[in-house]
Amino acid sequence: MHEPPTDWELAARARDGDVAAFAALVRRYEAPVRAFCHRMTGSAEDAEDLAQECFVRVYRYLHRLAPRARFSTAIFGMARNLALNHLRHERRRGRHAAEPLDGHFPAAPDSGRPDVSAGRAEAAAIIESGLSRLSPQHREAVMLRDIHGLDYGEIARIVRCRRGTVKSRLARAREQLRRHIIESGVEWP
Amino acid sequence: MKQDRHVIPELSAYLDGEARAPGRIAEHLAQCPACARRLEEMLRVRDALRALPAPAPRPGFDARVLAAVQSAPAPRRWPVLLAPAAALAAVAVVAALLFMQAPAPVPGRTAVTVDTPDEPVRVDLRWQDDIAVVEELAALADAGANLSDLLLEGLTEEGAAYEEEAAALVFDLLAAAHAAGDPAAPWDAFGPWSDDVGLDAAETADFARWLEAWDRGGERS
Repeated sequence: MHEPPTDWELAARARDGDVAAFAALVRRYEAPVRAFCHRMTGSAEDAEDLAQECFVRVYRYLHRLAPRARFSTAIFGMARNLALNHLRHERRRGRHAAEPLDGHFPAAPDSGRPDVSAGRAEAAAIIESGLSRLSPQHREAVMLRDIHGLDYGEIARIVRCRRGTVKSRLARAREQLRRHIIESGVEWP
Repeated sequence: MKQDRHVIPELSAYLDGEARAPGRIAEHLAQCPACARRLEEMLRVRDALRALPAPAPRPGFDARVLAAVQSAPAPRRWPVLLAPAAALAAVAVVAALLFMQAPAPVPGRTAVTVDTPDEPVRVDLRWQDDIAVVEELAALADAGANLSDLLLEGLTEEGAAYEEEAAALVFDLLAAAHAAGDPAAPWDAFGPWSDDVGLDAAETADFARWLEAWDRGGERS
């Protein structure tokens, strides 16, 4: 069985001019990066632009990246910086991005049972609205951990804080989400 | 174990296998229904997050990225020998802002004023662990054309594409200054940053000595 190339193998080939290898990396990370940017900014349109810029910059940085950590750390680090810059610019222009998502997220997968599917969709909507109410610092921490599967050290490296800070931000974010679910009055997912 | 704010962070970390004393927490959970219920709810929050559907791939996205990449300058190696000189320019700007233009610092706080095309912007830098130092520094860069331009030019010659590096550099300088407890001599903590830009150990040591000399008023080049 032929193993698919690792991220770093693709990155090395892309660095050597293999455009197809870079395209494969883009396809591998497009959806998670777009989802991350969407949840950070609240806008699907902005997220698409940010995701594109993220990959362009990653390409320009390829020669500087070394496989000391998972490739996803570099990708999400770049996406995170771009998203925060975007939020800052929006704030300076008087816009507040910590608003509910603009509704372009896909519905939860259909289980074939209407009651279960409806419950999942409702739970997903409640969680999304809870995420949108978190501060950017708490939102990014809980997304990187629970949605994108990064560990504490990787998150600390991305957001440039200590592991203990990651730990406290995650705890606070999860607690706020827990309260949000309870206050929403829905059945626990 | 009371269910107070000191327990909640540990339960969250416990979920991730990051708790400091997992055995003690497990023992406590076995005899405390309230904490066990809280843990169960946190588990459900985590599971609900994990179950969020991912967006579908956008048709043509990779082609658009490749078109943008191919119209952008080709990747090139940043000459390592230029790195210290470039960073020194940035350090000079930051040092000037922090230690020369700044009003008398309040203990634990430093404020800088940045001249922008519109009006001076005053930004507080607070030496605390859990505040968004990077954000404030990036706000500095946003607000101050001079700071931003000098940092970016000094660092890279490539302009805004390296904005994150500029913010990262400033953050590490400030963190180092804080760690050293002496803003005038923070350079011994330069390792993490120099690692990021690809300096080897000898180059890092040279760089640190050079910065120390500069900091003592020695040669700048």
